[in-house]
Amino acid sequence: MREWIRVFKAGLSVENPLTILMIGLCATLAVSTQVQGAMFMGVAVIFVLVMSNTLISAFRKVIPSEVRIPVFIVIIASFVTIVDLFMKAFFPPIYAVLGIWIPLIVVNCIILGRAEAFAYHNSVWLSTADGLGMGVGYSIVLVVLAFLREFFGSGRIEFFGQAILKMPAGYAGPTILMMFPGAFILFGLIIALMRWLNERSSTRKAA
Amino acid sequence: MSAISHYMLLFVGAALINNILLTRFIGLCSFFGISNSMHTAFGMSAAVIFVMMMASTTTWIVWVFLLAPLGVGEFLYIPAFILIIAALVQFVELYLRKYSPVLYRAMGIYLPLITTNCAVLAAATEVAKPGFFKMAMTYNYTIGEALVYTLGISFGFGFALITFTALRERLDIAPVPRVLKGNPMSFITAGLLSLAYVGFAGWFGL
Amino acid sequence: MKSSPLRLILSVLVVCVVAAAGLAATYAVTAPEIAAQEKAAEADALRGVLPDAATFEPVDDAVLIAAQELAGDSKVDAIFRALDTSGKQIGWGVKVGSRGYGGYINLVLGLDRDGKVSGATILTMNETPGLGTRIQTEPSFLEQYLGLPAGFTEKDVKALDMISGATKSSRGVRNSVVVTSIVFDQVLKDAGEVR
Repeated sequence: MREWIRVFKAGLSVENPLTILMIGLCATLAVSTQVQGAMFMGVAVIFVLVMSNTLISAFRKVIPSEVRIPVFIVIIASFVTIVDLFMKAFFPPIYAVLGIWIPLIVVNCIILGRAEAFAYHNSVWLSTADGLGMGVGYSIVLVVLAFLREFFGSGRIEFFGQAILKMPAGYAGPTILMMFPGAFILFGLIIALMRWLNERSSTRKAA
Repeated sequence: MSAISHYMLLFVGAALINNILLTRFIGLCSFFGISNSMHTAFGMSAAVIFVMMMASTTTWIVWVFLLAPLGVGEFLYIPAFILIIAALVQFVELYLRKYSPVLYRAMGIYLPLITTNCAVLAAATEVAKPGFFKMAMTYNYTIGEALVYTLGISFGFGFALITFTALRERLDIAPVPRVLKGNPMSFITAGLLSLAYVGFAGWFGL
Repeated sequence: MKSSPLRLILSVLVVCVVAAAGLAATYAVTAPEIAAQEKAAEADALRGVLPDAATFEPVDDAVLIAAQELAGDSKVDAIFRALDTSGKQIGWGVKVGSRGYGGYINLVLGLDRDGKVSGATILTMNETPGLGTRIQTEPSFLEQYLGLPAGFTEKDVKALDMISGATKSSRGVRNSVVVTSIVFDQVLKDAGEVR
């Protein structure tokens, strides 16, 4: 169990796919305009990651290594399609916002990367932990980024059309945050901040 | 509108105004991963143009003659298209290694990276299954339009990649605050570059 | 362990067949739901722009094609006759889209019998949230198109307000309204009415 927790935690911190490994960026910057959309995207990624990791590790002994990549791709693509169809059927407004990013989860480097690097060599139990940890680590960063962009960019956080958090009236935020360039700049500043905090804590420890 | 200007607009729209990297965020992984030297940027751009053209042609044919008539496209297009791309990349790699060592040396090592490049899947899906991107076109693409559109997207990809690499090479020798050095500064630069592409949106009232 | 080619082909094949079967099953479950959702969204929008209508029926293909030829850069997806409870025609519902900032903005416009705009609703769009989406979140923008008389031209509409900072999104809506006016003037007026 301790091993399970260690693997799970790695995805959140030291191996965080977004801020440390810097993979799977495309979708992150594109869907982080809304907290609500970001949360659904996070759930979709967690589902695909956990399911594909579990399944691939369960069958790791029967998948011949020469054809493992095509097999992984088909498995991942199937789970992505399942998410795609279910979201289209039961949450059409959110599907309209996330749009192409749901199908594009299939080429999200995180998922194929974890299948190849972790699930193909580890037990089912640990692979589930890895999928969950990576997925949650991804979602946290995504939702934080979305919160900053939506709250400061548009001055309100909306869920299903209801504003649940509002800036005082008359607030005119920098709309650039909501646009594409703002996402790049904000994300750059966030990694710089994290790096600064890391450096500070390590020099303290050294002192 | 004459045929030539129709194709020109399609090309410019795909390459600059809807630049896949800087205004759509598609294909960013490779954008940051390989933009540290001009040599790799050119190799990757060439490989992307090559693979994208082949992938889009194939997915278009598969969609029009196989998936759509059978009525299974709605739920099989994701696995089908990604498998086509993966197989194609593998095939091109084998072929180049055997018959064209020069080309293989120039872009061989980038080929495996392209399988998981979102830009290729996005472009291939857009031309085969229109409305995917909600971009320039909504009615079905003809094969000619599909080719011109893909060419535009892949040129836009290469153009953005090469300009960005040039900027990054300059940044390496510029005095940048220590915490911003490397990745953070690259993101901020990409933001400013993307701001420039927002300006293209006013062109031709597209 | 080196696997035999037969085993390689077989394992890929098995995975593909299982995946395709699984997806076909998922699709069978979700497809009716997806169709129902789309239909409901369309029906809601039509009822919203023509509140007095009881039923909507699509026009003949010939009328739709004639309308589509006039659309130019915009697109006309569907045209409906709006009928009241007694089956008398009271107006038209038009599904129309024009390019905004992030792709097509699809609207449903309602016209009364004389071609006056009776309602406008945004069906789908891909505009920048919080910026371009103000064409929807600020009701006064769409409301200014209501009551425009039949046969208005681009010149009449140009005097109306745009949303500052969202010029391209505003223009997308405006183009759709103008196209609808042209379609009414040149096609629907002559297409006659049922019963």
